[in-house]
Amino acid sequence: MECFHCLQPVPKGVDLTVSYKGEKHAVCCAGCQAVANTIIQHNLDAYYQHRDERPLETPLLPDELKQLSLYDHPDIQKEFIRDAGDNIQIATLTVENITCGACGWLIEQELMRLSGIRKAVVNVSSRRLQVHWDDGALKLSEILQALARIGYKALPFQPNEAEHQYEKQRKSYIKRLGVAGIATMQVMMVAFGLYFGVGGDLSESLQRFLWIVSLVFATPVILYSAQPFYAGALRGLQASKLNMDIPVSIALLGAYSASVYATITNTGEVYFESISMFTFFLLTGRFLELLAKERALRFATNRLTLLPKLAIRETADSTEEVAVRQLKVGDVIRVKPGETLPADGHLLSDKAQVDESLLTGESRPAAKIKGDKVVAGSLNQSSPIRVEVTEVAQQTVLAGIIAMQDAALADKPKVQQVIDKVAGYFIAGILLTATVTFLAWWFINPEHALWVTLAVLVATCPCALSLAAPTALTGIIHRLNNDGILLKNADVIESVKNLNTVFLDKTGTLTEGKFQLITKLDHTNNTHNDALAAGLESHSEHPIAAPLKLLSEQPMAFNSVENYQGLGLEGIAEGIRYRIGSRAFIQQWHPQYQPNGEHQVILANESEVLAEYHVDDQLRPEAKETITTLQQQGYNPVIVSGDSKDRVERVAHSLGIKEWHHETKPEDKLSLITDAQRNGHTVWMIGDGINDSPVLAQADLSMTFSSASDLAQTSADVILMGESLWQIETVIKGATKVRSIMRQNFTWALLYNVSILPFAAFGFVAPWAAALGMSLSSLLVIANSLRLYKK
Amino acid sequence: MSVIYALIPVAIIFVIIAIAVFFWAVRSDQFEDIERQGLNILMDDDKPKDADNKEQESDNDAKR
Repeated sequence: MECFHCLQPVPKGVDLTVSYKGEKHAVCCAGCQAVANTIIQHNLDAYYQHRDERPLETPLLPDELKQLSLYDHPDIQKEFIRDAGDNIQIATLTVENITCGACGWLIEQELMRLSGIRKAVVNVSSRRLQVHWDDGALKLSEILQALARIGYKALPFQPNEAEHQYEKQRKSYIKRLGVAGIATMQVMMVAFGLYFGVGGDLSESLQRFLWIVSLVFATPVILYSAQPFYAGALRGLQASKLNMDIPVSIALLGAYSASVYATITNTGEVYFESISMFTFFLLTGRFLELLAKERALRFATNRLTLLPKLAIRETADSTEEVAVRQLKVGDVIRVKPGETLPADGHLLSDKAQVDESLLTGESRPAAKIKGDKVVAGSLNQSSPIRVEVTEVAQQTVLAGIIAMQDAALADKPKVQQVIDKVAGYFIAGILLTATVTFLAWWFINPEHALWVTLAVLVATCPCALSLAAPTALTGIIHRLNNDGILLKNADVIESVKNLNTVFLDKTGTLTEGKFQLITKLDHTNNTHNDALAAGLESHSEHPIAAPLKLLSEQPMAFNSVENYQGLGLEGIAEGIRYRIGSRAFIQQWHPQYQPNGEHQVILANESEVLAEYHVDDQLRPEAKETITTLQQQGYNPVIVSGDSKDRVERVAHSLGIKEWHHETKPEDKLSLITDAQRNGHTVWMIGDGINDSPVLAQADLSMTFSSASDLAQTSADVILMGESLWQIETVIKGATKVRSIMRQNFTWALLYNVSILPFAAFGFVAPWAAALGMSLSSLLVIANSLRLYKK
Repeated sequence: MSVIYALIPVAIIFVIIAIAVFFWAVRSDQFEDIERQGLNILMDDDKPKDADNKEQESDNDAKR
């Protein structure tokens, strides 16, 4: 049975319904029930009739809603809100789980019901909402809450400069494409008149007239629509690098000028239809490539939602909330459990447990005592703490890592695209054959020299060749996208060829990144033990305690619980004294006791040991299989982790990885990877933490998960949305496949150009044959690339 | 066939008009969200708001 609202299966034992049109429909959770009721009550149920039948994410839970009020803070709002005067504010938000046009309609309708909303426009393809509202009548958090009530999570995000560029480019491409399309149709129509004659005969003056008409239509195509190619060619020449735009420009401008000359002097042949169609095909290819890239970039940007970064600062008599960037050295801040430290500083509280795993890769929380240094970006695990700020913003350890990442990105080895290598040979080929043809004909028959050379130029026009790469590229971006893999650039296609080393982070990449109960061994009644362990551990904030708290639904009530730092907990239940904790802690009571296997958390009372547990950061279930497959294909997996030696070693052994590096700092990881690159290895890096971001930027190709830190996501080339290591294999397969398709495209395109060349050089290729051959060869390349879209 | 000398220039003018309209459409953001537009005709004014729903609406507005 499917949930009425989100279309996901209704779990067993859930008995919730909504009534709609007098019938009861089952829903999967209270969240969906609330959302469905809101939609129906607000008379927006047309949504249910017109939406796509695709399952939605589960709606936002109510307790997540509380944090939304943080977005009303003026310091936070400064980062993403535009003031349009008259109290009207404009913000662009990214909306998760928009699946179809009906979602867009639903959101707009719901928002327009709020008084104070001036305008709400949803863009379904980019999953964005632009909203204009009256700040006096409505708060931003109320808008976000209204959206949450109908099941959408909308958040502000960090805008991306590159995206703005893409948008401008896309608009100009649409215009150029429109002009090229409309004009090419006219030129072709006239060309048919020229091929077959108008009304049976084609007088000299009528032919001249039709040539002039073709000239009129072809001119905007060549002088306006084809501009991106000339610009690209100029850029290539300035940087003294050959690219495909150069032969394209030579062919276009050469054939155009010769045809204009023919029209004016009324001699020879004109090729207006060939070059117009050529421009149109090529522009289409480029445009599709642009769209695919823009889409990938937008999705990546949408993921970088702005989280409200506020800190609690102590004032003379109380506390105040300030934006993190306003903190100054010497301020005293308070950090609640579960919150991220906003700045580096000294601990003022007696003790603290902080999770620095994102920064260092160390998976166990670090114990800190009064006066110790704590760093921005680490997570407070224990009780509320007070910190005196010593470094802010640009000086923090975190900012240092970001700077390292930027430097690495600039240093990253640039991949030369195959197409640019081909371009070099091609230009030489065209110029050579054109010159030879012209000279040969000049001696044989000077009258025909120009027209035969023109035919050669049109025949060698690299239309199919220029389409070979972009169409394949668009195909791979699309294909991987469908598999939940986001490709930010095309480097993957080139780097897969020489790939031999895959660097992997441990915590959060090979492992799940959170503690789980792996095995347990009960020496006595297990339900009772579970209740005891859960009851006692509920007094602990230690991350190892978290999975044990879930052992029982009816935890035993404990009193006079005492926390022995670094050892464990002791407490009394039903008059008996119990302990849970490390081996050393239990051995104080049972000196002879040795735990079995890797069990490291032990439950005991004073007379006997009751149970033992192995709690650890578990390997991802697919890790073993993925690593084995990589090894079989001849790639060398290497672990680079910031974690301690024995933990890294254990993971390496269980996965069969021969090379590993432990306790590496971000700069160590970076030097490991640059060394490998210097030794001629092509290195891929897969990681998720802030500490991984510099290496991700440096690697030839880098991947991260969509749950990874923002920083890792900005520096990675590929984002694995499916959260599965197995997707590495999908990327390798996809890239290999696209390489073979591209090779076929190149072979065919070159074959066509080379085989038509002799005919052109001997003057056998009429304008209609050139146009036909070019179209057919291009269509073949496109059809071949389309195979990438199929599974 | 001489009519063609008049008709083709007229066609050129039509093409120019078509391109002008197209440019205007691009500039007014009509190509921004192509996925969406096909559905719009289905959604709005699908059913008249009945008295019952209006009551609920004002109810909700009051709560807000």
